[in-house]
Amino acid sequence: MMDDTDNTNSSDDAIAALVRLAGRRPPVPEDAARRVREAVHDEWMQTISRRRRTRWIGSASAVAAAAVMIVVLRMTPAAPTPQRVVVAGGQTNGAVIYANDAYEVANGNTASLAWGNAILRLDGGTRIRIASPTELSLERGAVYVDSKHSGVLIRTPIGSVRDIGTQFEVRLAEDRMRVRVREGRVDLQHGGATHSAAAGTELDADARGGVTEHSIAKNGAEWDWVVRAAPPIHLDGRTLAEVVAAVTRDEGVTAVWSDAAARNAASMRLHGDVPLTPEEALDTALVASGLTSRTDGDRLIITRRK
Amino acid sequence: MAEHPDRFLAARMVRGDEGAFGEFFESHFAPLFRFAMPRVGNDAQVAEDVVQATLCRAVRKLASYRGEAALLTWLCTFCRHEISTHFEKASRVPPMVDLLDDIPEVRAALESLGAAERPEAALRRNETSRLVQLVLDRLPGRYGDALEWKYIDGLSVAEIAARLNIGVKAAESMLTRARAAFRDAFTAAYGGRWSEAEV
Repeated sequence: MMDDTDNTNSSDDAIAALVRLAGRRPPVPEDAARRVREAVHDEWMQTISRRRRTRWIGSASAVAAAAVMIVVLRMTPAAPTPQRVVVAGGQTNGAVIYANDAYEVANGNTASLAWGNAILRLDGGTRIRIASPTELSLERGAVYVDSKHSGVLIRTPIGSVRDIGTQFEVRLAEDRMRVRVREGRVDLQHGGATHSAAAGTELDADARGGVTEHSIAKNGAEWDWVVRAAPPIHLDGRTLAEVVAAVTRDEGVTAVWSDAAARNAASMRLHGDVPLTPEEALDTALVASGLTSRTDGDRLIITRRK
Repeated sequence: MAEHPDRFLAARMVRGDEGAFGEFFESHFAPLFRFAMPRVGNDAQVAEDVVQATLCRAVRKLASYRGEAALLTWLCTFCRHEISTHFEKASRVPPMVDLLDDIPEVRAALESLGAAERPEAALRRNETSRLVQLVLDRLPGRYGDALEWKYIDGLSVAEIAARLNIGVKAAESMLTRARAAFRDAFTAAYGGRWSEAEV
């Protein structure tokens, strides 16, 4: 029955005619809807549960799908053959950076690149200027450095940070900077003094020379962007143990191989040439090895799949 | 770019809101299934598999949805990938389908809608019908359902309100918004001349 309280005009009449012309959209099978709903609901609950337990899951990441907006701004025509300091990897698809290049990441995106002996990750809205394979200036935003060898120097208008073989983040705000250390140690040069920070420590430095120190968790929501910015992982030829080590290092947790079946599978070599996010790589590698995982605080417990 | 309102639905889901999950599934399963069907040769089992894989992948990655487009558009991107993967695994070639929403010439194909009956007129009428159904699927929330209930089932505003569990005034307002959204979407798809068409 049509509702005579509706005020329709000719445009609405045309809509009515079009909708009637098209007819009802094809129905979807109810049993299919029910099955899919159950499966998707389970998947959603697992995702939520994992996020709640760990607080570090970057299921948001979708790194492979995210468009990374990077602008390289060449400062010079100065040097005819500028020093090549970075062969960018990961999300930057092989771009090459030269000394004095500025590097920007658009808001909402992330980027990662190989920088000397370190892997550098940049949060959205970050701008850096690369001076050499071991030195850069952070002009705004945040960088995360994963360096196996010491000596990287991050300069900011407020202070400078030198790593001692570590994982750390430097975030610059308008009148302060924050250094958070996940592994190893860094030295912050600020106000004529050196402040050391060990793993699990945050230094908060203001423009007037003040520095405060806090304890921090090595995983959690504040590190999510680091996981989002992780370079893609290729499984092919890597062992399960290598993949687990890479992912747990990114996420600030420790792997625990809880039973013999899990330990035996650790040396299994994996195949697959599709670049995956850390989360996808871990899931895929575990499933392929007949294993599963759960998180317990800062531990990733790996067990045989039942 | 302004955030799409679906961003809020996604944010609620990321926080674990059961109601949001229900809303997400009710709004997106059927359109996505209809999106997949012709692309998998109208094989309902395959469509079910790829839609399930799509939605499972989507809920895992929901926190990365930034609201730059409608959720359904985002889901369709995943779905296309799942369909490709399905055919790669099966070592089969996807069916050759010529879908309105896949070809840029859609407007040209519909140019002569409503013209005097010609051999291709019936086909074009079918294409128009499909376009209307696609637009209904792409409308936000339950707008497409509301328009079908109103114009195909002939439900009153009060009956639509009861189905949606909202007040009559809210249902009237929703229908107004649904008509406006349909008009805008169809105009965009049809090239701005739909109101001249004889339907």
